[in-house]
Amino acid sequence: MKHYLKLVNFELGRFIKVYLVLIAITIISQIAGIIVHSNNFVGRANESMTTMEQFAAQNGTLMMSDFMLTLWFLGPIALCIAALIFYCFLIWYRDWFGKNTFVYRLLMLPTARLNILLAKASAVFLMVLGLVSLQLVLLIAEQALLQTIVPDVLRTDMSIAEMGNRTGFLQVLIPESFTGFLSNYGIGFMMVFILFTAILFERSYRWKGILLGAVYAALAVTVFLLPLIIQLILGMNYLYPMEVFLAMLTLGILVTGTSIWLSHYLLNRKVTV
Amino acid sequence: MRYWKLILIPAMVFVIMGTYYIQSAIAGSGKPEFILQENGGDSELAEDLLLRGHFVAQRNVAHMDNLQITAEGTLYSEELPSYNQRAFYTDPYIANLQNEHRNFMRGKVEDANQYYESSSMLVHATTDNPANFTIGKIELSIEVMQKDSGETSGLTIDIPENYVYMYVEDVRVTNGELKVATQNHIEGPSEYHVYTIDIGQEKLVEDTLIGMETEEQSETENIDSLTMLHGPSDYLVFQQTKRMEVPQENGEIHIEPSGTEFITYNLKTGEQAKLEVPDSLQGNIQDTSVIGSNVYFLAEAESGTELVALEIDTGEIAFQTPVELPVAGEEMRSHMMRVTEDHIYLATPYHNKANQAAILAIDAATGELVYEGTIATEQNQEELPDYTVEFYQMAIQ
Repeated sequence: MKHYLKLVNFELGRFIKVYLVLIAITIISQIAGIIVHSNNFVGRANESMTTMEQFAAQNGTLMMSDFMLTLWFLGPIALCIAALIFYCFLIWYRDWFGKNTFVYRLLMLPTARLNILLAKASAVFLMVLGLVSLQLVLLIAEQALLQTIVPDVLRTDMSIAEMGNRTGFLQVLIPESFTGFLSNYGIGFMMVFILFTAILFERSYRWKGILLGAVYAALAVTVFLLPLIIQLILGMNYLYPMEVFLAMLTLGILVTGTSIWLSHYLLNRKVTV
Repeated sequence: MRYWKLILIPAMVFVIMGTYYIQSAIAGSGKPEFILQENGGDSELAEDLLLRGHFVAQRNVAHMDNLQITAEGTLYSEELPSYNQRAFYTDPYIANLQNEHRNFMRGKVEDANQYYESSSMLVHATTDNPANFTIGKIELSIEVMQKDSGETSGLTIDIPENYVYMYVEDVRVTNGELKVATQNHIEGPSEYHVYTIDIGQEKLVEDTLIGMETEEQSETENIDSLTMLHGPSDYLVFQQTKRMEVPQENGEIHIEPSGTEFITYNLKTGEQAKLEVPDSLQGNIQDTSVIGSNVYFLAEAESGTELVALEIDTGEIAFQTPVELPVAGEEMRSHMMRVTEDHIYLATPYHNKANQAAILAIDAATGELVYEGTIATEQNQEELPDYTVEFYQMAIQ
């Protein structure tokens, strides 16, 4: 356990600078964005020859969901997503291609190699959730800023759930219900483990491993989606909703478990430096 | 602090995410909690009642959801796990069948009209229609499950004529014979057929066309529409509206509705008969249903809306009773009607802050009003945002 925690901390440390930069970019872009966007709107209202009420009636009121579709808001989110996907690869390949083939030391550590895998996955996961939490706080802060800049008559206040309802994509990142949160990030976690297994295939068998990894990933995703594929072939009602849910839950755990076991096997037996 | 990263990030995630989800669980949705409020009569009659509708709230921005109101209160579809949203559209009758006969019901259409259930058997009949709305051969697929043995047998019947589509509207078993009422379409108004099938011999015994054959042809009057009524009865009942060509003074011809009548099909004898609607009740017949040996319908009388019971055997009016349901604002949708073996339930299909929806239950035998209720909210109406509920289903659980 201690080794594992140390390794997680170590992995976080190796990316923390980039991570803090991502956080800074997100905060700056979104906060600056809401100020510019709100002021623009109020400016247009002031310049128009009509009263505020008439302006609102003609142009609609300003709301968070409008701002959330601008580049100010979406840009940093897209950047963070791209960076974390890149990080999933970097977290492994850096150890091989960085200076002094660091992986050599990592694999020689007097700890189970499974800890290395789990620590890397945990680091990725913590960083994802950290950014999502940051976004949640930012949404509240941005709405507060919007409220101070834009007068009552020109704006429409929204709850986080309403923002999600209107923009769609936010519901994926911050689902309305906690069960939705668990299932979305559960699937995310599974995908990370599948990707890690594919990477370890490549690290073990090189060129042949790319093919093996791709086949494994496709297979794993197919197995997970099997209940839905059955529905497509045999008709939408063939499985009852509860059965689909339980089957996907079981298969999800099975796929995650298999990925971890395979990764463990590859790390212990096949990986080459 | 060597481990600040390891402590700070998880702590931040826990505090922020935890606060968000705990707070949203405690705060609730702030949406109205609807209840069935009894205003008179036997409250037991509302115990199994279920109303489903689309909910739209106008708080700051429009918020849409589906809801279900029963004697136990309100359930919003958001409260159901996302994988089970389908439950909001499944008829309670079908949901019960799915619970009791899980494997038989697997993969079958959730249309209550396609099933027949008795104490000894469960029957499902369905059709597979030609692709792309072209005329073609249609097969009627039937599955029969014996309840005591759990044994299931299937048969397919080739329909002698070709159609564009054919829907099963009702399934009955009388004297060992299966009767399947269908709506068949080629062009023009739909035809209704009753197919009599010998289950043992797996063959089609009789194909009865409803109505049209017995119709004396008239040059100026023809059939506008034919629909089927649903309810527990030994008759299959069809409602036929006609239209008439009326020459105008300027030489143009107007097509006007010229009356409604019912066609009854006796399941025991296979005989068809016409049931005339008295002239005084013609025009604006809204909802129709059938229980036992009576046809029930809402008609506009001078004094307002009335529920009329018409005896199939004699053609006489069994009773005529005024129905006071609020007209829902400018909504022109007709009332909702659902029947059980003993009662007729009627409800307003629309509910908002100003117009409360009302529900009535009327005794099928006497026409007596036996339950009266309204949809109310647990919260004070003043505190709620503007909202509307448009009901799409009324059912008895």
